[in-house]
Amino acid sequence: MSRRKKRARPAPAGQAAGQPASPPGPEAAPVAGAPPRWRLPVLLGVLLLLAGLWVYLNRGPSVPEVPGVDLRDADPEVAAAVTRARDAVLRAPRSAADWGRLAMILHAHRYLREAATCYTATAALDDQNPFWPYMQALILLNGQEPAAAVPCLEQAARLTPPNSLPRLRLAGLFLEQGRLDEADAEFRKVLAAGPDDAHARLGLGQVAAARRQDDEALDHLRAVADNPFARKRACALLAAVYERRGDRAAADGVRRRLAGLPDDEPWPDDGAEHVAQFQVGLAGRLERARALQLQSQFTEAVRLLREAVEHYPAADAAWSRLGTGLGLLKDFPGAERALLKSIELAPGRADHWFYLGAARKEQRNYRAATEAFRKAAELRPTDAAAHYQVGECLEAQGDRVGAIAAFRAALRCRPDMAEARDRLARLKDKS
Amino acid sequence: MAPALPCGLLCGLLGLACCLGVGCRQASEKASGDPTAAQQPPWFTDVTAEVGLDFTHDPGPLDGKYFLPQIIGSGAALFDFDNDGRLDIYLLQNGGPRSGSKNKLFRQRPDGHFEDVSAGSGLDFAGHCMGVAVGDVNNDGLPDLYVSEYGGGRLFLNRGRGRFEEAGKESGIDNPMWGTAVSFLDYDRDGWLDLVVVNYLDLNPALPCNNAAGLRDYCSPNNFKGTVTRLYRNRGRDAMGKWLGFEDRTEVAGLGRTPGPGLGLLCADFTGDGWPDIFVANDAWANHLWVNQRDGTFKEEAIVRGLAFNVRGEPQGNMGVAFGDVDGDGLPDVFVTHLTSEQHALWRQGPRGLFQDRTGAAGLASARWRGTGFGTVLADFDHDGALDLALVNGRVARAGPTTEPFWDAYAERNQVFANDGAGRFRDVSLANPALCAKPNVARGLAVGDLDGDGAPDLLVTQIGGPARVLRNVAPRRGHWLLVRALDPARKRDALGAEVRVLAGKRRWERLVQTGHSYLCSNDPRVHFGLGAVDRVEAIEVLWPDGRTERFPCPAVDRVVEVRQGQGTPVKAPLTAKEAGQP
Repeated sequence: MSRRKKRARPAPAGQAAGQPASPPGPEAAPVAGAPPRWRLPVLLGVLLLLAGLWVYLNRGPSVPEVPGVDLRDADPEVAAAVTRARDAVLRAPRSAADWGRLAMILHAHRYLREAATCYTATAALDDQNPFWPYMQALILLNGQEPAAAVPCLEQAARLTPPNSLPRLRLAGLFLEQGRLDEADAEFRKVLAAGPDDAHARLGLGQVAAARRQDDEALDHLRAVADNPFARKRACALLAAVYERRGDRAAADGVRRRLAGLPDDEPWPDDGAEHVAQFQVGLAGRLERARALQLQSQFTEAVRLLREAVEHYPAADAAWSRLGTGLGLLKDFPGAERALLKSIELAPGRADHWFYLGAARKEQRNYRAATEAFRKAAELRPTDAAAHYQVGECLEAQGDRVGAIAAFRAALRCRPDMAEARDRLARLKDKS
Repeated sequence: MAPALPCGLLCGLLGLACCLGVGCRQASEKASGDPTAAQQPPWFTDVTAEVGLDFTHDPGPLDGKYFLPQIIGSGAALFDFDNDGRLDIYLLQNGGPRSGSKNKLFRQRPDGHFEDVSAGSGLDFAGHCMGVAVGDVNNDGLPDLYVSEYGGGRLFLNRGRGRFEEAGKESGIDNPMWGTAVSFLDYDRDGWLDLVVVNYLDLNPALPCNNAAGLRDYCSPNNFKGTVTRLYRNRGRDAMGKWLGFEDRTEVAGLGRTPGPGLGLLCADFTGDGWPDIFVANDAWANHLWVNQRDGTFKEEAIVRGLAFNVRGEPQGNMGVAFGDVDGDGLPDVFVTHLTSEQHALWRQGPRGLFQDRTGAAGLASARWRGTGFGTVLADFDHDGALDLALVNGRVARAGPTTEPFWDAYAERNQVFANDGAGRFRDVSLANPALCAKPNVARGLAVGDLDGDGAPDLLVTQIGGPARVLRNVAPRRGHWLLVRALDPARKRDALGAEVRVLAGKRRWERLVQTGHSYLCSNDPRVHFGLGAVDRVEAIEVLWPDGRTERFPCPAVDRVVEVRQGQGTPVKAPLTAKEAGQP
């Protein structure tokens, strides 16, 4: 989205002022009808001022100072990336591209105040690009002064097509602030450009529900009740609207459906995704691996995780993630080795022990798995899953008494754990 | 005069140029609140030192481990443990069981000074203490306490003369989880106070969390699973008069069906059927409203009743809970505090039993500044007849790099909002520097009339900082009443009673419930600001057992005690169900 606008170079100041007229000689007599003597200097003054103003208006936009960034304790890869980007801006302080890159790197690593400053500078240097005010708005929306995001979103919306995400975000902000008429107007602009826009339909449903215009709310909400980006929120509001109308059966039906729905997927946001790509360091690597695993790209994820342990060999989290990643590839011996390494680095981490237990259990090494799960439960006594797994492993080894005790321990932590209750009942029945 | 024209032109053009040069970012309004409010007289003054309250919260070691319970903080209780008519203070520590920092009990002397009577009280113990509930569980006339902790909780029975005895496991309460908000209620109307313990997360304390820059910080709740809110039924006394303790009814009552990361709690009648329900504010999760089915079970109905999500149908980081009728329509509303990146939410009730997020309409979403709110109370601080709002703030993720002192990176200002009488709020924080000027990492906010002048005072708890007493010094604009509703048969405050003050066409309603705000227990008496109303026709009480009585109120500007059985019985108002409402 980054586009740089070429600005006209301001003309030399002297040229704009024009050639000074020859001053009248002292012997020249005043002529009737000629301008008074004081008018010439005033005129020259005006011309000079106008020239100065022209120069002022055509100067390049002012940019703030490059913000300092406290990189103490930061991941070395992060610190290096920030430093490189900052140095580039210091070398070329009027480069929108360099400012933008610094802004995005800072944003990706949650240096939000500094990132906002850089977005301001970038937006000034690249003022026809909606990306920069939009990204600045995203920071402001999550900060202490969300109202300050309004002008940024308005600016971004002006520079984008009517059905753009900035306009939808602006409408959403208006909705949250109770500015329902403005929210309604913005959502309708989006809908006018794309009558099937689920985001706008959901928004209009929310606005109508807030106004208690139930028929209209139902119309919009039903339209997106199956949309994976909107269905959960739509159903939540539908249930409330049905209840308000006294239609308990419909409300209960939606509520039952709601209980089985996963969270709505986030609205696609190319801008936010673009910024996320700038994340580096261990957190960035693990996040990318997680994203791959969510897309079932387990082999590629393991490749990234192997790189992560190479770069961060002392990071127990990286080894643990490699272990669980190998588990997803059914390489349980490999998983066990990686998890043992994570435990070597952080023996107090109950989750590492738990995953080790799982890897061993998959290999039907129940005795060793029990040991690992027990250690997990010892380190984290409220972990119902660890107690439960101890129970399963003991049951597999024929230790019914031990298994009963473990399932009871699980239920003490999580009385809602149906599987533990079932196993316990079955074991009791056997006895 | 000649230069005037070009100068004027120049100024105008320069002004235009300046306007053109401004980016999308508006000038930052660093001050919280309406700047005009600064001209108004303050409502509060800090009297912590004057009243001798000497308590500094210990959050545990700052050893780089970022132990999550630290950032949750600890609450406090305002209660009259010795029945001398003056509120005393109990303050919790979070340094852990092996720390030397013990909870403290302060008794209020007749001169308003608080003296430390912790030693030997039985309440002076160390732990990862979170919330506290006050209620007389054995109906002996002495208020008892339950303290929730990370990894447990303790019930203390008040034995009189300033001595409390830990009830231990024989009390029937066994909660190994991370307890946070706690409250007493009588959900089965048997006259014995039952206990709700909200649990937060199934924490893995060794899990380190870093932000995107790789800096260590407190973990997000999204890293862990939510847990189940526990319900303990009070078994009352046996034939020999021995108190039998509690029994865990979580599963039977249905609360075990839906876990969640709970932080806030309010037990009140949300549906209008006269039976207490349980509202649990969940962190980054849909809230739960457990509706009392009047047969010992509950059904979760937050979604259909509109309390689960915000106006956009999204779950938020729900924390402290305040309850009260902000718009004078006779129906109590719910206010819940949230993270800095979210909006606090005001759910207005109407029709009875149904709620809708009306935060924007109440003017609470357009505040110039917002923080991460925890403790919150709705109280009529200026006695104008409308409930005002106070909330205390403090971040859960640091704002920047490591600071010295450590907690400065989490500090935020508190806020106060004035109600215009129609349910619209105006931020008057600037007028209240004693409460709002200095950033803090505040968590608990308890409300009660500490100095006996009839106006609600505040107690603020902070992480790693001193507890503060804020005396209400608002210029009195109206009259007031402070009502204590007592159940003489049970020798205790009638928790769960609804008190209505009737004056012509005006009617105010309050709930007798000490467990609200965040991790705190509050004054059991209910406070009414009456504005210009100087004559009250009656005080009507809907008692927890469903009976309603009316009491005369000879005068205003005083504390009134009403005792069940001593009023004139009146036909109970129609319940919502009888009125055909959901």
